[in-house]
Amino acid sequence: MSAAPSLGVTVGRISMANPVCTASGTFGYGLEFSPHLDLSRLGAIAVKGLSLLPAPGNPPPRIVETASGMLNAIGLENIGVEAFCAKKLPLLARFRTPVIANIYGTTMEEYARVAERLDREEGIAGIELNISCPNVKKGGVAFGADPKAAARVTRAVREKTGKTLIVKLSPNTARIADIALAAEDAGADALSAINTLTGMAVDISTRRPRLANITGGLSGPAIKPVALRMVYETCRAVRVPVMGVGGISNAVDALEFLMAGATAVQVGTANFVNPRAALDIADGISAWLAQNNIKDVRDVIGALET
Amino acid sequence: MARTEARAEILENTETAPEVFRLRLQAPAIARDAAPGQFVMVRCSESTAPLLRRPFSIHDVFGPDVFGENAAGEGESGIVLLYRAVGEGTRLLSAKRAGEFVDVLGPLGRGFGPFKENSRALLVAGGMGVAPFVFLARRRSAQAEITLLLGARTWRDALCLEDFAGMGVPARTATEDGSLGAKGLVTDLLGEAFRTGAPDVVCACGPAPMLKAVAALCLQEGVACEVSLEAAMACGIGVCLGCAVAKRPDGQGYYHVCADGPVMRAEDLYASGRLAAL
Repeated sequence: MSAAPSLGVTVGRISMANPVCTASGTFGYGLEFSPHLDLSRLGAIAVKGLSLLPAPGNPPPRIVETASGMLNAIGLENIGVEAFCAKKLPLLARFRTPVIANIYGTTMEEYARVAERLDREEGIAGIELNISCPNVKKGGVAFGADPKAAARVTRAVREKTGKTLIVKLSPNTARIADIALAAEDAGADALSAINTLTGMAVDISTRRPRLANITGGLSGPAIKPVALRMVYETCRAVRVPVMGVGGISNAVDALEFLMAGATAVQVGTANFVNPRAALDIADGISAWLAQNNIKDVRDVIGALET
Repeated sequence: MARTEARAEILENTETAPEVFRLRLQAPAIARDAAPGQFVMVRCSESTAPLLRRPFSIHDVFGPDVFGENAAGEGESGIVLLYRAVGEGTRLLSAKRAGEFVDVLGPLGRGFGPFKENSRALLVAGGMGVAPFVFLARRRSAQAEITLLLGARTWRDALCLEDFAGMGVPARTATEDGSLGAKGLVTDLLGEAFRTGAPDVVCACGPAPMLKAVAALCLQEGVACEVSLEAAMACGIGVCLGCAVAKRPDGQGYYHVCADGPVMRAEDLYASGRLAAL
């Protein structure tokens, strides 16, 4: 029996013990999952999107299940950056896992102020800039669909933080590579792709949309092929590392993203179904590498042959 | 707040009324930690169709270690779920047989508050809403004088009456077609009960309009009332934030049924000053 494969990867200045991070919005503030898995064994934890002030979110109904997926229109409900730093971060610091704070704002100034606040926190390894939420009227995807706007907000946040800056890209745009390049040029250390795809569901008996917000973001296994294609295109366009996100439910899914060029992956909706999903996927990657006599996970990153 | 994700063996999954199934699961840890009113999330399929777990209230618990006599959890011990096969998930669940396994996460959420010693409690159920009251009555019938008020569309939908009879809990029923008990709604029974002497607490579970009507009556009479809510949810553990329910009209923001509920105090949801609007 040879030594266990090396699983470590680096995203910006974040050293991850394995390439599996939890996706923002699907893992709460991390602590909710401690009854189910050892948080210290995760590659990284991306917490629920934080705004300058607490946000109540959208009226219900907020979620609806769809074929092999789900639509959500939560509306970025969160406790606000101050409460996160005071109440959640000290508890997360007990685990050795890097914490990535996902942030959003309705204006460029708000993004910058949230980043500035988090920059003071030792327990934060990186900031993930959400320019891709389809469920809030202002902010979110308004910055993510246009390369110039994406560059402006990335630059505004870059000026406020020396921490690893990850820009989370929206699939709801014609050419994701253009946004990726704009974010890279504006100072992003890494990218994550993709956020949810805008979608909709109708209740034909009431003739009403199934979400109060009318539209929502589609996630889950249903979006995996689209996410994989967009991650592939993003990785070909930029030099910074990319975290692949979108419908990853098992180790095979994760390995597909790594081979397509992603340096790491984020596991999202799968956490709802299996609270141990992220850890099961990390263990599954390790087992697959061992079975195939691959000593280092970095040997499969971008190993796609075309 | 101990909760377990268990691969639970199905001991029994039988149709007890048309499309209504009783699922007995071997799950000692969940049975040990469960409180009446709490729920579990069950994975109805191993595939991605349907993708999400389904929430079910805990209908009953069984087994020796539930009563602290067998800490090792040997022998049969677990939880019972009562569900109607109405959608894709519950139909798949209803096809599973004894000896198969399902993935269960629980116990989850906040259950019914404690009853005062020697108090009078009314349990008001509509249709499948009777499910959590068997567990509640089993745990509490020694400390409180419990009466069940059960409303259903027709006699076939009036479930669990033999369970309450077995526990010595009196039950009154109302059916919309008059095929069993009084003809009318369960809220008519509640109004009658109030006229003959108000209880100390009312616990309600059923369709949303029924819960509103029960809460309105209780707020008007100044009787403590707890309602058990239902909502679409993805995780059951407070992270997807999908199961939002608005705070009372003068409050701000939302509760989450999975973490703040499913059992909530009526006054937190419905404003007493706006009863006319309910």
